[in-house]
Amino acid sequence: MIQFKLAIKDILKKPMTAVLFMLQIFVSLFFLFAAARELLFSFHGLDAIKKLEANDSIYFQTGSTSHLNYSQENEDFLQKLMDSEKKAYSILTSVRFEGLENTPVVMGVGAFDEVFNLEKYNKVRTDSTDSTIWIGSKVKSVHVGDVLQYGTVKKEKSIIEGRLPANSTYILREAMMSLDESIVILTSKQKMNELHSYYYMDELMRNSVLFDVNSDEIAEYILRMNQQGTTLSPISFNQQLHEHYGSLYKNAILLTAFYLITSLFVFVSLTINTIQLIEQNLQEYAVHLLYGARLESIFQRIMVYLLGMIIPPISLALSVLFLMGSGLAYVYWGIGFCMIIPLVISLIGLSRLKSSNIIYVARERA
Amino acid sequence: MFHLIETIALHKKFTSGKNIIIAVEDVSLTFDKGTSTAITGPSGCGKTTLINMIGLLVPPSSGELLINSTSFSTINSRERTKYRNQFFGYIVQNFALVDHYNVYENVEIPLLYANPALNKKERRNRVQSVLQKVGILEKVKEKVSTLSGGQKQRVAIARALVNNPEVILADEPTGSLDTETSKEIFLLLKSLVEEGKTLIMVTHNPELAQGCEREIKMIDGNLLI
Ligand SMILES: Nc1ncnc2c1ncn2[C@@H]1O[C@H](COP(=O)(O)OP(=O)(O)OP(=O)(O)O)[C@@H](O)[C@H]1O
Ligand SMILES: [Mg+2]
Repeated sequence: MIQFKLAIKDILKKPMTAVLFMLQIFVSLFFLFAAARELLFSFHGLDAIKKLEANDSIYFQTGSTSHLNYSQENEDFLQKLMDSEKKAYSILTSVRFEGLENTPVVMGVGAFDEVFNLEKYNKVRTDSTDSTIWIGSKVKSVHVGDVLQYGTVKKEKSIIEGRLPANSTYILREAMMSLDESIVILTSKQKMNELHSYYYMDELMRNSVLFDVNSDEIAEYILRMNQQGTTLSPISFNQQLHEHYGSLYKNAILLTAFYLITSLFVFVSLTINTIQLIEQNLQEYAVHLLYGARLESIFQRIMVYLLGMIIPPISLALSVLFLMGSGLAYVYWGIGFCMIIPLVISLIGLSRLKSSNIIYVARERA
Repeated sequence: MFHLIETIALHKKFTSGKNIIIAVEDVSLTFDKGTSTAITGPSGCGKTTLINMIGLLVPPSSGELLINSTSFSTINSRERTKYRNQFFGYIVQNFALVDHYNVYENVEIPLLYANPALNKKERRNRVQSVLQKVGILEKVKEKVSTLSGGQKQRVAIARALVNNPEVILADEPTGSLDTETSKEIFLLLKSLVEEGKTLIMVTHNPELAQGCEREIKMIDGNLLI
């Protein structure tokens, strides 16, 4: 208890030092978290890119923006790839829920969940006649547990299962997109037909991505489309990769470097400043040791002192980040990171106070 | 024959890099209760090292230290802390005061660790009576950084006395004081011996050494006989 009081006194003794130290932690943590967030976003995207690359994905360029003509055979072909073989997916972004016109909706059809790491959020969908609704980490207009109604030709109600992790991403043609602000429906091609009939089929076809598909089958698919009067040019994702996604890689590397440098900088400056804080008090600690304090008591005092300096700015940084809508994972991460530092540093401080040294330290002029 | 403190072939060597410095070489001495002893000798002869070994602040490389006939070579850190708190009162070079504390806070330090624990009122009474004794009660609320050298040394002495120790270990207690103040401080220390305390004092001042009942001269880590 005495050590606790002394530690609080230590903090209040130099209010300016305390404020500056706390400010430093706050700013550094803030940058660190922000960098981590960017980094995660870019990693999620890269993950998806890797999958698309490994699977030799193909998407299509259509000659016209007008209505697409297609045969039943082609629709069946797509349905087989998307639902049974899980070798294709498509993305619909034009769907909106009634009353929620300002909340974007991403409808992932077929193997969308597998490609973008959302498989486990699809657990409810036991067969191809089901769909499940999730929301991105920052969606505010609806909540987990709300029931939404959707469908064009047939209405159906579904409960919102939960939130996707922050920084979930998907790739639509050349762009990496975030799911954080969207309502996300994971569904099958068959279910799509049931609910919307042909209403969104145009978008579905334009946005479909095929992977690991035999090139003869693709050639036949394109030929059949041509026969209906629709020109489709296949685009290999891997070829595009170097043009469009190269910069993503570069960004990710830059971000990683930035993140590592920031972490290093934060860690070094935090360590130096903390050691300085302890050094300032070291003579006093030594005097206490000389006149009867035990090393454990001083350790307690240093711990209380450092935690008292570190907890307020962490709480502040975390609550600000929380309000900005970042995931909970950072919270635990941040707390863990910040608890380790005072522990390590108190040990460094204590090593300066070995019993054979205390008298010399006690004699130093503060 | 019973001695309060006995050293038997107390030896201390320091190794710094390749060099081995023998600071104290096989010193055997006895100290009895209520006596005053001065330790003198040229700079670097091992006075501080010896007094620190006696005060359990520096572990000996070899040899024995007996306090009340109990061996201290195998003592644990808890016991050592207790002796530091209650048996010895240290007056070290440069006063070793905490500059941003006031006089009261400095003198109170040993009482914070007293066993059994003292409450605030008991601590206040003890601090006030010891400040009275060393003659600076009127400065109780002042920051020590504002005090003169002699006043600082009185605060340091008060701190050494506040837990009522048996033995006062003083390392050059008048080192940084002028002649007149040195005499005053020495008289204060002598008065404590008259009350039954045991004084072991390192000094460069021959006059003060003469004022002690016994003078031990050291040279190169050895006693000069
Ligand atoms: N912690 C240490 N590490 C290495 N050498 C030390 C240490 N403490 C003392 N010494 C050496 O031991 C010898 C004796 O030192 P000590 O401080 O005991 O001398 P002293 O008689 O008190 O001198 P002074 O009168 O200058 O205070 C010196 O050579 C000193 O350099
Ligand atoms: Mg000395």
